[in-house]
Amino acid sequence: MTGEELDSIIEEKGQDAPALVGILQEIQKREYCLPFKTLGMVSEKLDVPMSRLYGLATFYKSFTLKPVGRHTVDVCMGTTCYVCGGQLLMDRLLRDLHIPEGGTTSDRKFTVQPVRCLGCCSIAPVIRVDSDVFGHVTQNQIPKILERYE
Amino acid sequence: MVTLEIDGQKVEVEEGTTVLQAARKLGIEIPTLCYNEAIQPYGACRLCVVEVIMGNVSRFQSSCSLPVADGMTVKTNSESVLRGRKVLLELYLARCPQSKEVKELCERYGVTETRFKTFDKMEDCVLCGLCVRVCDEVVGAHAIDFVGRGTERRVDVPFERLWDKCLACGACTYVCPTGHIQNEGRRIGQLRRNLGTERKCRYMLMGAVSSKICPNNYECWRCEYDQRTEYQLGNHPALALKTTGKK
Repeated sequence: MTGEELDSIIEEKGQDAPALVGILQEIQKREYCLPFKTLGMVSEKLDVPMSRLYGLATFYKSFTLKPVGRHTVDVCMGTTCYVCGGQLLMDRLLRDLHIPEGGTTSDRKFTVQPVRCLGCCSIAPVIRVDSDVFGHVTQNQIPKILERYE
Repeated sequence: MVTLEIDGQKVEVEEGTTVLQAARKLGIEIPTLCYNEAIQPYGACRLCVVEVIMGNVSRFQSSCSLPVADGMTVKTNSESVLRGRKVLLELYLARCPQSKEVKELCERYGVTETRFKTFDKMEDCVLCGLCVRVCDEVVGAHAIDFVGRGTERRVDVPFERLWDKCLACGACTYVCPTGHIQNEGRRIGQLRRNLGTERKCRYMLMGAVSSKICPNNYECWRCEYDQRTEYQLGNHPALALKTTGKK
């Protein structure tokens, strides 16, 4: 990320402390992680100590320090989804994409991770790709769902 | 001036003082781990919990962060306060079973064993945040902060390796209630040998270089970091460490 890009983000989000998380979120969205260099630039531009930025980046689950894929696949492992076969969906995903749990495919397309309850137990088992929620998923539907994403 | 009652004794203190300070003025002992006069109250350790009665309502609040108010009645040793404190001590004992200070406190309050699960036998950090706050507020180096969250929470430097901001001033070691930071001595020692790129001073704990001029053109022991630390803590961390080292 270049300095100008960062400047435009800061201009949009504001310079004060509450905007900090928003700025980091925007960086995460564009770079798929919080790179060391970019954090250094944020620290310089906003005059926030690096230790604080690192604390924030490790506190929130949505921030990662290592790059994730373009699409995040969240497999619900809440009680209901687990009972209805969430683990089977997870196994299928990992088998199809040839990655370990929490891993990223080599073409940086998908990252698969387990999550706790997504709050829609009535359509269990649930998987979520980016912000789209799929309910009543069976193993056979998984290749079709993955095909939708570039 | 505000008048309040602590454990049946009337005391008159200035507005803005905390209940803890008022109690200490009366000579009433309230245990604390995360409190230091030089640093803003934080209310992390909760050991200073007291029962505050205002009118008909009784509440439990941490006395270090509670400003005094007129007509307040405070009980520092009531049965329910002691019960709460004992639970807290059990939690501390589960986290840091080896820590000397935690053990002493437990002995004083008659806590011998914990009902909670002990995770790491060698852990002695109670996450009071004193080191983080002294680094931010007093020294102003912002070298360390809390990293991670939940059971993974710990004090560290950014990316586990960015030591450049650390001055090796030793203020964190000085304020640490359990001596956890002292165990980091090896890393700080390495730091002093290792000349960082952004370093300001790596010699503050050595004392032997008092006649040297540092890279920032300050005479040693007289630089702004040194002076501010000594002024706010009332004692220089390096001097305090030296005397404990001789024992």
